[in-house]
Amino acid sequence: MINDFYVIAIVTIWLSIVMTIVTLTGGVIFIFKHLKHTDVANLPKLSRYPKVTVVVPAHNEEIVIQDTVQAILSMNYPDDRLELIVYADNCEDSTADRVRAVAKIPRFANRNFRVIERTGTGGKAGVLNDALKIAKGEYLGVYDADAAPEENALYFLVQKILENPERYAAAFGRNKTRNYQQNFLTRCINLEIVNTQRIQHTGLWQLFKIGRIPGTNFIINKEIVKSIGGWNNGALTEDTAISFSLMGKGKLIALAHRAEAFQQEPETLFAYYNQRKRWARGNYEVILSNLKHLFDGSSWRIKLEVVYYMCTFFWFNTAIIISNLLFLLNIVLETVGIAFPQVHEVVQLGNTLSVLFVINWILMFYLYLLQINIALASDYGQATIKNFLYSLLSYFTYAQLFIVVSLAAVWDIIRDKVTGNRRANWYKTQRF
Amino acid sequence: MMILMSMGSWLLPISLTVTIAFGIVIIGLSVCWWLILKRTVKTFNTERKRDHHD
Repeated sequence: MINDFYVIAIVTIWLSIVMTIVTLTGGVIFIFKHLKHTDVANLPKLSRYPKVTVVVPAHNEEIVIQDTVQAILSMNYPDDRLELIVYADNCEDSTADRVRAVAKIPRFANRNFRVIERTGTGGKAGVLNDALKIAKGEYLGVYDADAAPEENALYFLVQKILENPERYAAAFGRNKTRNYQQNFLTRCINLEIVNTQRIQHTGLWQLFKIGRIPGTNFIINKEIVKSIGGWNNGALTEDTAISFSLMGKGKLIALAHRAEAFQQEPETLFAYYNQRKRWARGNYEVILSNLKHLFDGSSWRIKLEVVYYMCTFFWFNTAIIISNLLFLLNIVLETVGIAFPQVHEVVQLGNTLSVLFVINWILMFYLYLLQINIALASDYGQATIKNFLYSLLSYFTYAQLFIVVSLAAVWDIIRDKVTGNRRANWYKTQRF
Repeated sequence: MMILMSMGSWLLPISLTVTIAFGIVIIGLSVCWWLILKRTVKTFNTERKRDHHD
């Protein structure tokens, strides 16, 4: 029985590596195809400039909101085609006043923007649904309150959508870590973000034309969102939920890789833990609610996404835990066996297999480094010796946190099912 | 004592094949890493200031 578990765990880890290699290969192809320089000083005019309503959901964001509003209003997009609505949602601070103060700055005085003080429910999804009702734009753009989009971010998002407006329901850009030099945690988060944006997203788009709406830095066709009933009010990860809904409609979520925005990442382990646990939990809920699509006539992209999420969050995690437990148990029994020769290890592989598995482990570790460092190499200023050393260390530290977070999220779901208690409030990442 | 040796008849050749396949793919990806690094470092260093990169 235990042998079977061990073999299943090892084969599972092989499969996870195959998935990594497939994505990485797609990412590498994408990087090679897009290595040429973009002359942002001479960007061609778009065939048309659809009206875009940018929505910024903000909950007690007085520290960062002014910078965000100014960055959005400074984007390279015609003033009369851009509407900005900031929602100060259930705020107990001066978020709304800070936004109004921007209107007094002469260069923003005549711009089309306003702040709405909201007291409704539903968290971020609730805000976006409210915006859906009053937005004048053909497209809805979303930026988090801590986002700092680059000057041409919106231009590139619209440019991407206009390549195929019938098929592309949404376009999403890249997010970068603004505060990555802060400490070890932010350095590791930065590695993860660079890897996600430059390998995972590009790989999936290159190979399968699969995109996922992130929480920020994206635009979406307003009418299509309305046709699917808007955002899932109270969803913990409203972005994952709506990505599935759009794919269900046969639409694509296009990657506009040149549209970049900076965002702030958690600087403390506590803030990180809470943010990631919420994400993991939200993703579990979305996966479980979409599980039925594996067996119905849904598009292959939805099936692939469900399988991908299932593997990452459930199957692979369980296999890694079993494998780790067996490994630790083996070490303990081997140590005890020195004093008591009648005690033996749970699993004995034999010399040849042991050597092969060690080689496999080294290859896995090297693949992890390779993935991160290819991503770093493709980004300006990230391919440094310091980042390489952090990528080495992160494998043994930061990467292991995922298992803890996943387990905690599962525990939360079980607890809430038993107690019947589930809240859909704002889950805010602390700003610094 | 449970021993996996009994599974060695199929586990060993499969493990060996998978390991060799991984090795070959990873060598190929390492070459890509080097090529990307060489090209991007050259691009980034030859520009006076950073405008925008893919």
